[in-house]
Amino acid sequence: MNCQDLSRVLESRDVNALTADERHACERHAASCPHCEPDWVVFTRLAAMPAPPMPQQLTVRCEALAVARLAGNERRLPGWVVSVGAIVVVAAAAMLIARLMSAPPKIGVQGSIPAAIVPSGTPAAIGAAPGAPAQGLAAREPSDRTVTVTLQLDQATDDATGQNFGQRVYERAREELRMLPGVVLLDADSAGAAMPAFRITFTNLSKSGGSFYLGSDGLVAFPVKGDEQLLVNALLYLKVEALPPGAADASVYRTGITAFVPVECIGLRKDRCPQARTGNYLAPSDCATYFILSWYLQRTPPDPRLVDRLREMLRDSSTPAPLWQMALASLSKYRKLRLDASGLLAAANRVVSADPALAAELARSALSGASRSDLAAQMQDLLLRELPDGSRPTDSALRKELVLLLATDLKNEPAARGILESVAANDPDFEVRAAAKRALGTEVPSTSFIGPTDEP
Amino acid sequence: MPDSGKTQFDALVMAHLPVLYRVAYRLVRNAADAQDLVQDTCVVACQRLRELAATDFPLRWLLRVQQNRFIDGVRRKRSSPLVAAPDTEEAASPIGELLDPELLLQRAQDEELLEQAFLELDAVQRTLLGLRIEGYDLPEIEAITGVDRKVLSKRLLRARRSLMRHLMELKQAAQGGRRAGSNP
Repeated sequence: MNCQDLSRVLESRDVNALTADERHACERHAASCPHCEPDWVVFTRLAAMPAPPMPQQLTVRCEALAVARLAGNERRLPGWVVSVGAIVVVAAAAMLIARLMSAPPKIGVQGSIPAAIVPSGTPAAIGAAPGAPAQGLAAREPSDRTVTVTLQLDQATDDATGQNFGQRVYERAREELRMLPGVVLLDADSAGAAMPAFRITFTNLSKSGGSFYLGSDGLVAFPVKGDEQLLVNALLYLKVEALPPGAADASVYRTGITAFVPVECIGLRKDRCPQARTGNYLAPSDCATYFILSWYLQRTPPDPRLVDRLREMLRDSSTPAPLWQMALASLSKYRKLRLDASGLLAAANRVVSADPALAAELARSALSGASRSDLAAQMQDLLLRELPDGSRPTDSALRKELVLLLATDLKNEPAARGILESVAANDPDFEVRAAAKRALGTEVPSTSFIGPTDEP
Repeated sequence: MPDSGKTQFDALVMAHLPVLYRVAYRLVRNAADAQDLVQDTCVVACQRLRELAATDFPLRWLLRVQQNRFIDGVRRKRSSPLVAAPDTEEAASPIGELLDPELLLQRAQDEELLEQAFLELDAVQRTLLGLRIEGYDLPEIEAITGVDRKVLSKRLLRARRSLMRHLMELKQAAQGGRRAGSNP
């Protein structure tokens, strides 16, 4: 066997089904060829990694899905129902177009707004506990103008505290759903759905053998002995399937969040956890809010009440970082962000490491909103002001972005050159200095990359 | 009649569910995501049942749909702050293997690194390698993906090289971390 033969085996043969002789020949060549050995070893190991057997639950889910979908697809309606339906659809489309035309232009909206989501008031409360029969269902029959969702909680843990956490997320998620315009929440059985269309699953993703569960005050874990710096990665996963009644074409949405909590925080209350103080911590209610709103806002612009709520989240300094970022991104996406130039720049500064593209967009918005002289003063403040500890109030990535904006949008302002010169000379970050020098047309000498040396 | 559709679905889709799940798991290395990927494929199959029924090779059709859903999903995830991570427990080796505990630990660490390296590949590379390690040869992958065999061959080679590169980087990082940890 030579290299080409081995390559052919890796390309075209099932390495798990090779005969003993064939395998032996491959191994013998690999052992004698430094070029082929890593390729062979890595590929065969990858192929040897087991895939778990298919869970029985998946068969049940797919069966149920087929029953629900195919029944919907093949339902035949009498002619007059089709005609009335067509009129309703045309009326709904007209209303939607009217609403869209009266709304301010939206830029950067991803995906389309489902025609079925049309604000129709706040649905009444329907059943609070999972599996409980729906209350007042007769009054809340779904119409063509609503999205009907069902919600079910998968409690994979036997732990009482973990179940409590899951229950709280679930209940809050239901409350959030009930508050959304154009969404009707039904219990799975009452809706006639054969499967839960909307479920929350908690997944244990502890990688190094430590286990954890979600406690009522947050994440509680049992770290691996001696692994005190372990970051526990808790993925709360939500799958949403919104099915407008009678629609053959359903969309599946997903969202989720990963919370990183250092071991030393785990088991402590939120107020004692330094990680929590940075805002990268989600209580059960925050989790639910994040899940539901990010799902909804991905597809649909917020109504005025939701806009107010998102703005309140932005103003509240205790809003956790993921929620704050979601509110900012959504308001910005739907052009509902009402911040002055300094507010925009402050928001850009806060979001720059998580979402540089959004930060740049906010900084540009700040530029277009303020007068030139105001802006130059603000830029000066953001780029040159030093904090008592010698650091700058803005992130270096944003300072670099501001330098570029200054060089392009304010290049004719007399103050701009002065600011750029100061940045080029004094900024603590090399890349920011280099950007300023480039903007001024000054070459960055290659010796700038070489640090001081002790050699004589 | 709904029954005829369901019968068709059973014959064309349900029969291939285990294969779809196994390939999906190879791609995402995560049981929950694999189940969702298969379920997404079933949604498409329901919507386009006639098209599926007309094809001579329903499994290929399903695998192609699944592959497209996977690639779309990875691209969507890349542009969102959400992170999916693999679960290791379900992919663990069968219990009962009589191995030296040290060896077992080393193997588990190697497998974990290999899995991480695999997840660092881009979606297309993961799809190609996933189908290959499931035993599909180039003509079959060509039929599934619609990509020319010669191009596939090059892409596969590149995928294997990338996998090795990622693995080396991860190993070096892990060794660096261990050295730093043992020498405070």
